[in-house]
Amino acid sequence: MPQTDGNQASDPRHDPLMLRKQQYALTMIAVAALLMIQLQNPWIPTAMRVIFVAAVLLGFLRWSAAILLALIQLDLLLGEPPRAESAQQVLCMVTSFLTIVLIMTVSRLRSAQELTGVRTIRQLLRSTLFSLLNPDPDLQSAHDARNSQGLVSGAAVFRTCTKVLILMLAAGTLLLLFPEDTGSGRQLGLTSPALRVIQIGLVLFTLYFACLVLPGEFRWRRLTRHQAGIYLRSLYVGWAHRDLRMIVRHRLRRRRRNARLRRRDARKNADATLKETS
Amino acid sequence: MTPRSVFLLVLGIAGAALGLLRNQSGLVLLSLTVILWIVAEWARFQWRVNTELASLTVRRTMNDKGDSTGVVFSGSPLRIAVKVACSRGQVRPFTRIRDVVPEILQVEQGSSVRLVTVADQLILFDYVCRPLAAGTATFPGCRVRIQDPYGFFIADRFVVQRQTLRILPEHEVSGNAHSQIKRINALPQHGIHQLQRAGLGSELLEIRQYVPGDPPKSIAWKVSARRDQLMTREYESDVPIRTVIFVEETRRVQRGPWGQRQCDLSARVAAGISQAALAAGDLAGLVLFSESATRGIIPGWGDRTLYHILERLADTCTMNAGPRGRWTPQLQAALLTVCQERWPELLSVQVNRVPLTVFPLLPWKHRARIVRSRLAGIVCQLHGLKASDWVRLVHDDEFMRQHAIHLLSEAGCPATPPLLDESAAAEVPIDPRSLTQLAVGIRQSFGRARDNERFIIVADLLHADESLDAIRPAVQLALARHHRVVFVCPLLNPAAAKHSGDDASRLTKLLREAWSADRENRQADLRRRVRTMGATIAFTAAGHPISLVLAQLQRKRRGRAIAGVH
Repeated sequence: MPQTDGNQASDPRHDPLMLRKQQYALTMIAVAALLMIQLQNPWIPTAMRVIFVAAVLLGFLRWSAAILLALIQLDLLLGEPPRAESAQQVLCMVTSFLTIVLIMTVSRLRSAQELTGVRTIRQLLRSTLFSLLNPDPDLQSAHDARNSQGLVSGAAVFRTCTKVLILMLAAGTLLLLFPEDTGSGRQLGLTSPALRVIQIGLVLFTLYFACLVLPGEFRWRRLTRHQAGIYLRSLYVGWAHRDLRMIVRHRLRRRRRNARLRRRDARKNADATLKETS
Repeated sequence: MTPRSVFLLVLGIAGAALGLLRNQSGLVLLSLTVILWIVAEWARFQWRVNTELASLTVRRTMNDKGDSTGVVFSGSPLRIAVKVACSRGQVRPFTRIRDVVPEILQVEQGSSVRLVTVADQLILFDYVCRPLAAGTATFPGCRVRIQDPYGFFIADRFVVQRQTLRILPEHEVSGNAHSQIKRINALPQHGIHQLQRAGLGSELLEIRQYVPGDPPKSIAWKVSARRDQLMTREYESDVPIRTVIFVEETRRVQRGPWGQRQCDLSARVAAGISQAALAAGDLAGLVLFSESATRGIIPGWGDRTLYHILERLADTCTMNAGPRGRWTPQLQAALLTVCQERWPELLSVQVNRVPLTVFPLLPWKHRARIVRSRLAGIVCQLHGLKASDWVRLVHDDEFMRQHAIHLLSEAGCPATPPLLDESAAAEVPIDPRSLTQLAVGIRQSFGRARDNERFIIVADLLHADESLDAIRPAVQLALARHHRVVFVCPLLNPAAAKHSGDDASRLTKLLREAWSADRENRQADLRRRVRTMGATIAFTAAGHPISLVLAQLQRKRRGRAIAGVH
């Protein structure tokens, strides 16, 4: 099939295989770093570490990002000491950073897998091998040029790390805005952590409400004619549903009864005609 | 929101709450970061939906022509190029564009789906497809699905770009219709044929005894001298021939998969015969008969007539709405599929709200009622019905069915009976009412005919049996008036495609053999019945060259009996 767009054909970024390989590489890096941190984790026993490592590896290969997050959260919940020292806090921050990078890359990898149909590493290796054995000259030369410059992977790593850092900075700022304060909590009859939960929860709820209302208003103004028509009809039907249903059912019943009567009359007439002829 | 993002959000909220309560800063940081990440992705996705998706335009060219309508012949390749442009911003990665291809077309090369992996203002892709049968193909537009790179949010839209394609039946272009061997002294004028009846032609028919009144010019002097009595030459007639083709257009012939229906085969045969007749300079006409009426095209010459005939044949192959019936779960599923495909934004819960009801109590019935209510909303909007009709559509099966069938037809997916096995389609006998209408059509045709007409009846009459007697008087009357009647029986070939594999069971083979034997018997019986009428019959199957039928017709033009057919 000839490609109509010559530029797209020669661009290696259009090769989904290339994208997946990058995602796999990034995920592997994140997993390795996370495991190295975990293996040197001082507050978890060795047996637990081994189980955790096995679970993370399995999660990376088979499961979704949510399972991975649940595992790491469980690990932190069980292993992280309350009010940790500054060295331990730094370790936790690094762990969080790597976890987010891992979840991001795994999510992206799963999306690419769903779209392109290559599910497992074995399929990826097979398709890579196939592309190596049957190379497309244009695509191959472009791949080589890009790989030699190292632009694609480097840019992807940089973008992901920057995004995670910005998000962590925002989360840290939110935590710093509401530090532990024992005085106010006592006045309200709450413990300090509970008060903090409520404060941060309120901030997040406000954020959610803003996200719900503003784009909702924006979306309402951008409804198509058909969407607006259906919305108005559905509102009216919702208000008058009982009455309308009653009317419609009554008419249907009457129609069925009339049809039944007509059939009976026709049968009677036919019987009468038969008797007359016999 | 996809389940993935919901799970992550729930885990983030739970982790943040537990971490705050237990003073675990690492857990809190991780969980809050996850929540903020999802919020940021959501905002970004909304921006994409409102800018990129709203400004997408699609332009499609069919065989390098971008017109809203077009004509193509069945079986010929159709090259389709799709250009998706974004006027505001770019088409981002993880966008999936699918050009919705009608069922009547089969994609042979390339793909009608394009996955965007790099942001671009213009996305181009093309593919080659082939029409499977004659009829009408409507390209409604492109379905666009965008999602964020992490698979948290998905939005579907349908970008309308409606183009209609008229698919005419394929026909073999016959070469020289006349014989290459010189059998006659003078070639007749184009469109004029010798008829073996006394006339004023140039070919000698016979020499007979002179009768007073014969022109002196035609006296054969040498023969008269030898026999010692006046003999005169009689010549053949030179006449134009009018070919009228009768084709059945009932729902019976529309059953089966695209391209393997009886109407497809009939259209192909009729198109081939028309083309050959017109190429030979004959007049060609068409009569379509069904259970209730006959309609047709008056015989004419030239490409214009051929085009009219092909168009009318394409109409017979176009699926029409089914007979009256009930509202079934299958029909609801078909309507839901089409609505999900074409109007995904109208199925949105935020727009298409369902009134709160308790009944029906059973969960699956309740779910089906909710789906029906949503579909009723879409039907109501698209057909411009009142709000009270929405409730009627939910409760009145017949009303809903009518509108559903109408909507499906408009969307280019007419509600058809379940696709049958070819043998099943072949074994539905012709309706006696159709044969009555055929007889009426034949009578009407020879009522306005001249001397030398040729009636070609293209219909599967294998299972007609005694009901064939309905056309006997009409056929015999036509023959008595010196017209010719030829039956062409198109036969579907069911067993070849489905049961020819090595894994065919013994029972299947036996059934196949029994079916073949039964068909042969029926063919012999039909041949006998047609012979008793005095007409001719030819059988043709899918893949058989139309030239076999044309050869028979060529011989029939000369008015001689065909050996082995009568």
